[in-house]
Amino acid sequence: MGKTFSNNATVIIVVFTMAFLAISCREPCPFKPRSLAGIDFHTVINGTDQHSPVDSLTVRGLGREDSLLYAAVNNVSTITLPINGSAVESGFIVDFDRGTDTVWFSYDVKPWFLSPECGFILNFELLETRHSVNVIDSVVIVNREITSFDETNIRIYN
Amino acid sequence: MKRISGYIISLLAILLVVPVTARNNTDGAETDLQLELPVEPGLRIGFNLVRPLMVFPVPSRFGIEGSADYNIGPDYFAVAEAGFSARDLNEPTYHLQERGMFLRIGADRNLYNHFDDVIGVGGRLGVSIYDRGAPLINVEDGYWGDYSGTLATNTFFRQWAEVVFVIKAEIFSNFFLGWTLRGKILLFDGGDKHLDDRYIPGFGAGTSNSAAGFDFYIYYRIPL
Repeated sequence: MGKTFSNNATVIIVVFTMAFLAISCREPCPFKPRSLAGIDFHTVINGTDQHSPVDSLTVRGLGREDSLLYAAVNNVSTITLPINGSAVESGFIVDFDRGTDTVWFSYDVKPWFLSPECGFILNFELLETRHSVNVIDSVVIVNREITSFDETNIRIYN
Repeated sequence: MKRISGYIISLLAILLVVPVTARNNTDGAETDLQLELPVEPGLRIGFNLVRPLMVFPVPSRFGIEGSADYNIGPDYFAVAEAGFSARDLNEPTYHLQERGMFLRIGADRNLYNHFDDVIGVGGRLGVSIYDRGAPLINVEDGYWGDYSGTLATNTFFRQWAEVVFVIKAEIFSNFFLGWTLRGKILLFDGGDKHLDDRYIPGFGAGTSNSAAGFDFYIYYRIPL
């Protein structure tokens, strides 16, 4: 067994060294996703809830009116909005072709460790929404967890 | 995943049931069986060389681990392994600290009847209690402005099961070298699809519910 073990030990040491070298090589972050709130536009026609594309949609952050997130886009039924991790609430000014509304989302910030290479991203847990009522009828939370998995979180009825 | 869990449970069951069955079948022949085997009884204590050496290729990780086994039957060893390990990732954009203790208990079955050497398979159940916190988190945000915050330290508890392939060879009287290959799967993990990268002492790091491991030990058997 002693001689056999010596041979085995050599193999083990080589494998061990290769494993160490492989472990010590850290690659740069290939892609760092961002957790965005997924928002669908809906309308209720004859009691039926359905997707409702909107035209001339312009969206900007409240307090960041100089920086547009969407600029007069047509036939859009789904948008994604960045959430402000440094605040407990984010507001957005939404211009429709029929008028303008403001919506606010309040949330808890949930730092999420992606990987040693990429570090943290921010996820959010939606708590509640508020909105003005010029064009928007109601805002409904359908999924409270805002993650990087491209899911719908909110429905806006107009 | 369910299939892997089934295999692990089956293996643990075989390891536990077979010695009892053998004893029932042999009755009075048990004494003769023990006399035929060359294995010397004794408590074998070991030290895992991989964990402290890991700090050289991966400075963010450190750990120590001890192991003990005791011959409980002709081919069976009760095994306990315990230790401490930590991952400390200190990067320009974040500082993440994870550290804690772990314990694994189980049994090995020797498939190689040659003096005191062991080539065998085994099963383990592992538990870990560990702390996790981040005193610094910076996240770039080109629209609202960069985020800066922390993650409060919390304590977590995890359990897992392992299948183990083990070799222990006596290099000179009562001194052994050995290594293990392990397949691990977390138990009671809730099936959360949004798992972040976490470090569980004794289990490993990553975003998966399963892991593989390699350990290299030096042992000393205390003769009884």
